[in-house]
Amino acid sequence: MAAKAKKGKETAGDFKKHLEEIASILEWFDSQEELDVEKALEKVKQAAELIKASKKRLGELENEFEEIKADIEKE
Amino acid sequence: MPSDLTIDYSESGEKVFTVAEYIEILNTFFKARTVRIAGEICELKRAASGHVYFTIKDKDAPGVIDCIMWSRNYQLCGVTLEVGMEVILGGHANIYPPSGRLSFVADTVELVGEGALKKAYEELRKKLEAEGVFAPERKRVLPDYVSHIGIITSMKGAVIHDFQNNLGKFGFTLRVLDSRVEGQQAVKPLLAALRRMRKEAERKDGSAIEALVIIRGGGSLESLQAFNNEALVREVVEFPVPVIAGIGHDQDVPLMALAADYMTSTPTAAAHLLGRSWEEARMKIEQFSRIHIRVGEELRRIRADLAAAIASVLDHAEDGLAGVKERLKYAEQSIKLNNPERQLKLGYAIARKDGKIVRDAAPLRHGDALDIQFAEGAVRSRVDGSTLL
Repeated sequence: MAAKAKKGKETAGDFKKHLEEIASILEWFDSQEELDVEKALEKVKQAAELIKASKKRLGELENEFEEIKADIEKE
Repeated sequence: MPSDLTIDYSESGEKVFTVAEYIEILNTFFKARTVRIAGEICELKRAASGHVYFTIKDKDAPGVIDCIMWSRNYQLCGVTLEVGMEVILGGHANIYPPSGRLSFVADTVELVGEGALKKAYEELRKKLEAEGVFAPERKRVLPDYVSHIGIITSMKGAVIHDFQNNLGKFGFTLRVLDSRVEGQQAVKPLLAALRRMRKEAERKDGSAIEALVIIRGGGSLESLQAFNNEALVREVVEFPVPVIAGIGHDQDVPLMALAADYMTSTPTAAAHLLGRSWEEARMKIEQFSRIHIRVGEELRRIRADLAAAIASVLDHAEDGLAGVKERLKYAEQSIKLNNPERQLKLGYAIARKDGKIVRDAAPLRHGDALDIQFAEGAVRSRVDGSTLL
C-alpha cells in the first residue's frame, strides 16, 4: 500500500513522490477489468489525500515562484 | 696709441698724469679689449700660489710676450702647459705698475692642432675613467614624469627650437640659461650656468628642476673643447639631479656627455627621453580607455545573456508549474469518475454472486443467491427464474 501523504512541510522529493503515486493510482484504475470496490474506495481515498497535499504544495511553489520572479524583475 | 684711449684729449695738453694714473688708464684700455693670440710656449714657471708665468713667441718671427695665467683660470682651462706647446691664449694685456713691465693676462688657453687636442682628450678620458667617472653604476636614474627641467644651451641657432618642438606637450616648466657653447671660451659661461642651475635644483619650494639638459649641435673636437673640460665634467658629475647631455659630435664623444647620467646623440633625442614616461603614461591611459570600453560592452552582453537565461528559466518553471497543476486537475477529475461511491449514489447497485461482480445475467439460474450492494447498505436476494430482457 502506498504511503499516506505527510502532514506539514513537504520536501521537493515528497512532492515528486506524491505525483508519481497519483499517476500510479490512475494507472491502477485504468488497468482494472473487474473493480474491487473496497480497494477502489481505498485508492480513491488515498488519491484524494495525495491530490490535496500536492495542490497545497503546488500553491506554495507558485507563491515562491512569484516572489523569485518579482525579486528578479526588481534588480 | 689707439684713438679711443680713455683720455679727455681736450684736457690732455693741460693735465699732467702720474705714472700710476697713466698705467691705470692703459690697463683699463687693455682690459676692455680681450684678444686671442697664438704662439709657442718657450719659458714656463708655476709659482707656489698656483699662478703660471710663461712666455710665448712666434714660431718664425722675433715677437715675444710674457704671459700670466692666474691659478683659478689655469685650473679651469683643463690644459697642462708645457714648453714647446702651441697654444691660443684668450685675454688682455696688462702693465705691472711697480716694474712697468707689460704682460699678457691669459684667461683661457686652447691647444692648437687636432693632434694636441686629441692627445689631451685621451689623457683626460683615461684619468676620469680610472676614477670611475663614466661608470654606469654611478649614473642616476631619471625619475618618471619630470616636469621641471633646466636647460643650458645657446639661444642662437635651431637647437633650442628643435628641443622644444620635440619635447611634447606635457606641461613642462623649462628654465633655460643661455650660454656660449663654442670653443674653449665656453668653459667659463658653461660653468657659471651650471652653478646657477645648481641653485635651481636645490630649491625647496617644490619648483626645483628635476633634470638638467645640456644641449648643442654637432661640432669638431676643437669646437667642442669646452665639453672636454675637466672642471665642467666634475661639475656635471656632482650635479644634484640627473644630467642629460645632448651634444652632437663627429667622432670623439665629449667627456661631459660620457660623464652625464644620460647621453643622447641629439637635442631631439634628449627631448624624447624626457617625454618618454609621459608618452608611455598617455599610451597606457588610451589602452585602459579601450579596455574600459571593451569591458563595458562585454558586461552589457553578459547582462543581456543573463536576462535571456533568467527569462528562459522562469518560462520553464512557469510551464512546469502549469503542467503539474493540469495533471493534478486531471487526476482529481479522473479519481472522481472512478469513485464507485459516485455510481452507487446515482442509484446504481452492484450485484455479486459468490463475491464476484455480475456483469451478465445469462449464466444465472433459478435460485442463485445474489448480494446486492447499494450506496447505503446491502441485501441478499435470489434469482426467481424470470428473465427481464
